[in-house]
Amino acid sequence: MGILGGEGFSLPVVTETEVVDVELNFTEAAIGALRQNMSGDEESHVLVISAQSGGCSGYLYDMKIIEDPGDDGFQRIDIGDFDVLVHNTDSSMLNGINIDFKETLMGGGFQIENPNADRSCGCGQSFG
Amino acid sequence: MSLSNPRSEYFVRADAVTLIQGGDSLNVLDRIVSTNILDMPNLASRDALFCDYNGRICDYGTVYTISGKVLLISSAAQHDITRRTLVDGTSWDEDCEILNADNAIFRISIFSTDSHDKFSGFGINFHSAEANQLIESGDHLFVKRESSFCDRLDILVKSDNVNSIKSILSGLDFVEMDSERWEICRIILGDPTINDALGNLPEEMGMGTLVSNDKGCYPGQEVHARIESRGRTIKNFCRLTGNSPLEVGKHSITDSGSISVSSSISIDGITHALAMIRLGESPKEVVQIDGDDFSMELLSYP
Repeated sequence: MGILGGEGFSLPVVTETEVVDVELNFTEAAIGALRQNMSGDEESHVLVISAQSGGCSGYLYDMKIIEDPGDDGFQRIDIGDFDVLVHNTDSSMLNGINIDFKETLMGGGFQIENPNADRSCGCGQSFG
Repeated sequence: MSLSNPRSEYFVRADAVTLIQGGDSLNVLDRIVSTNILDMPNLASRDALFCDYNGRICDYGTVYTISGKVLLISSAAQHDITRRTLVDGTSWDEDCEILNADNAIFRISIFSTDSHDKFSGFGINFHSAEANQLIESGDHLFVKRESSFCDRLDILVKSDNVNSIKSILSGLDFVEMDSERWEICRIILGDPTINDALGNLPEEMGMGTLVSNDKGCYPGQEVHARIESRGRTIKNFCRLTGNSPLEVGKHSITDSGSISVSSSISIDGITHALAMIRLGESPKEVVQIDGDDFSMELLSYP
């Protein structure tokens, strides 16, 4: 049976997440870059912005274009041509972020400014 | 009460126990610890440090890999912060569930100076067992731990089985330690709790081996990398022994600054203490603290 098995061995789930109504701010450059990446899939796909542990400062941003998963657990923000989803579990960390897109000869890319962050890593991908 | 090393004794520890399950559980945990745990095989244990973005220790625990699940035993004092970091750091699309296993699973630490005879009572061949490898026996897991003074075996046991394990231990002439005796033993063994380690750098605590400089970014990684390239720390964790009482707190050292005592116990006129000392050019074997002599030994993780 083992130490983690057996009948009656159920444990409480650790759930301690604050959920807030999310507001996101995109620059025109960011919307333009996303529109380009969507490449005609705006009807069926959405942008999901999320946060996960990692990086030098504690948390990392992640942005994914995926097939619309529906609203289960997500907050949907309509930014015109397409929808952006933020999961409830990330809402307090991502509420109020400003998303910009910068093109430079050294690569460029999306840049996120987070008013909830006390600090951020030099690379801009990690915050805490 | 005596200040002797632990002999045939055991202690039921009051730690925070967290079960992390799902295909991404080891990944989620690996992202927040300074120790590489991704290469852990099944049925293994490894100590790991949790550090803040300044590289300072905020928790200290042991990771156990058990049939695709991960058991984390960490300090009770910091369990809120560590569990919150785990929950907040799990991405919406990761397969990872974090469960509170406090009061469901206990860790019993057993010490013996004649382990060959004593531990064979559990069907464990202590001397042929590899350190940090989990040995499954019934509903229990045994793991041999490195210890500088005597042999140590940890047992992970379900709460329902704690009393039956205690009966077996009693039959083998092991004596249960109370928390005061445990405090004495762990100070003698130089085994730090989170109270000793909190806010210090791993290298200062002699825990540099728990920092994996090749694992990529994790909280505190930049600071740890800088310390590694600089090659030394200003302070070091140490054990003090003397004939005068020594209170927990900051004290002055004659001729060389100060020392911060984090654990101290005095019985029969002998004091043992754990402290963070600011090292000079040539660390001394005897330091004078508030006018009294104490022998000093620098400590490092075994």
